[in-house]
Amino acid sequence: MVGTQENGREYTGLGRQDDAVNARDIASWFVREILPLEPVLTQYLHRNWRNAGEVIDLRQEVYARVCLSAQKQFPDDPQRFVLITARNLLIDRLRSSQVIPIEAMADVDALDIAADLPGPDRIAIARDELRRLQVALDRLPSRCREAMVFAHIDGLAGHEIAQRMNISPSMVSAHLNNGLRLLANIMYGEDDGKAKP
Amino acid sequence: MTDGAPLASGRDAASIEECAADWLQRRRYWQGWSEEDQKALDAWIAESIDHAVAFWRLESTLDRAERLSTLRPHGMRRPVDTASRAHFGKTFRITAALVTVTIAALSAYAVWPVVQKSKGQIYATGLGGRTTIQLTDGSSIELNTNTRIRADVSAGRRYVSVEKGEAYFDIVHDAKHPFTVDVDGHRITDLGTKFSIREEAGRVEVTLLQGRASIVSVRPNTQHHAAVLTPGDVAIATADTLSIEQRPKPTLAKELSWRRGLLVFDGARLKDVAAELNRYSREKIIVSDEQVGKLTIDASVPTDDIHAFTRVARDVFGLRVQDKGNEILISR
Repeated sequence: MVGTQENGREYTGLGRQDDAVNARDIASWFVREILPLEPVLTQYLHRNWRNAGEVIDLRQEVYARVCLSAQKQFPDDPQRFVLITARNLLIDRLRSSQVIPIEAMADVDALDIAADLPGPDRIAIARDELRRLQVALDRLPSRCREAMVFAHIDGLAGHEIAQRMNISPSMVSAHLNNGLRLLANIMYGEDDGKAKP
Repeated sequence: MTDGAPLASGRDAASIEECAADWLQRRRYWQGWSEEDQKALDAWIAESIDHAVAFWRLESTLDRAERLSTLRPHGMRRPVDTASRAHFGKTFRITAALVTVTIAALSAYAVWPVVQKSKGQIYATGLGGRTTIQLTDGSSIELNTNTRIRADVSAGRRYVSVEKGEAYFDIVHDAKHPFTVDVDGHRITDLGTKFSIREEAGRVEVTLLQGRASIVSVRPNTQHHAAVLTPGDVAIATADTLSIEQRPKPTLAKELSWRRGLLVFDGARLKDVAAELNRYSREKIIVSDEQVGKLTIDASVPTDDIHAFTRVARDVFGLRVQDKGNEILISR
């Protein structure tokens, strides 16, 4: 199967160790195993949390918890682990809010449903990578897209982009900053992909 | 913790993400990133796991975005870019006024004797080669890979025969001396135009970009076909058929991107991409698996770097790439 060698099952072995794993290993594990789960995780959070505005914070907190835990041991089933972490986080938040909405009772079922979803299809992701990149670029606001195109397709440096676009370097910075964040949301975000900065 | 309090980490994800994006864009797009900057960044990442995950997430996005540059080198803009489209639009507008050819003229050309092949100067390119020939009349011909033509251009005579390959013609108008190109028994006659010809195993493709030109079959003992081409027309001629289709300008631009040393593919099947690249290289890409051959790809590949494509096959598609000297096998 395409891409299996990249899925890194060799980390199962490493995960059995109790020794702390170094940050580099965690970074590459996070990028390879956890980030592709972002649509599943975001969907889970949206389904189980009423305040959509908090989803990005919750997602970051799940990532932080997952990576902290990975310092001790890599989980065998990253998707299940991510969703369990998300559920625990939501329960923590519900407890601290002292108001337990009825929907919260459904979270265990939701977890099971989500866990039964096929994992993100890494083959499809690889196959669509270029198209996704192009689509992602096209979704950026026009000036922001322009800056990203100059940077990545024309290979220009920041000050050259400033000249071409006839704007200040700090504006270029702002466009590139924004472009990068929007690109991340589109590339890792939900498939319906309404990108929000 | 009370309702609405910040998360356990006490940090708001959006502002952390903004910081991470600033670090990354400063390092990636601007000059003068120093060791001190790197140390400061390392410290920021080490400060909290929230910083680390936000940074990793954006860093990997940036890594993925770098693939755009492997695919579209030489400062090439996306073919759908408004800039290139506008450029083409302008080219086409200029031409419309340039030329008029009457169908009556066609039949006259059709009975011209086939010009003797032995006359003229031979120009040729090898695999992966590309060259531009300046003719004495001011016209120019660009030869693509693995191409051979014979040109006889002197006072009162403008004749070229394409023996194999692909060439782009930019012809200076001279009403008294039509420019004639013979290829595989077809004759293209033009009066001040830009067009390209691609010959492959008896199949001839003539793309007219500007002006007007005619194509007629001149081979003895075959049914004669004739057509007048207008900008955007692509004539596909074989020994006994001739068809004309109109292609959109962006498509034509892509097809002629070889003139800039690029091959541009848009939703092309892997096996077609491989076949196209193989025209330019001694090393041949072999796509062993039918399913793999059907994968589609958008790419701009430099004509002089077949490996740029095999790297994409490996890194983006996760395919196996085996380099066996003269052959590069691509499989699952």
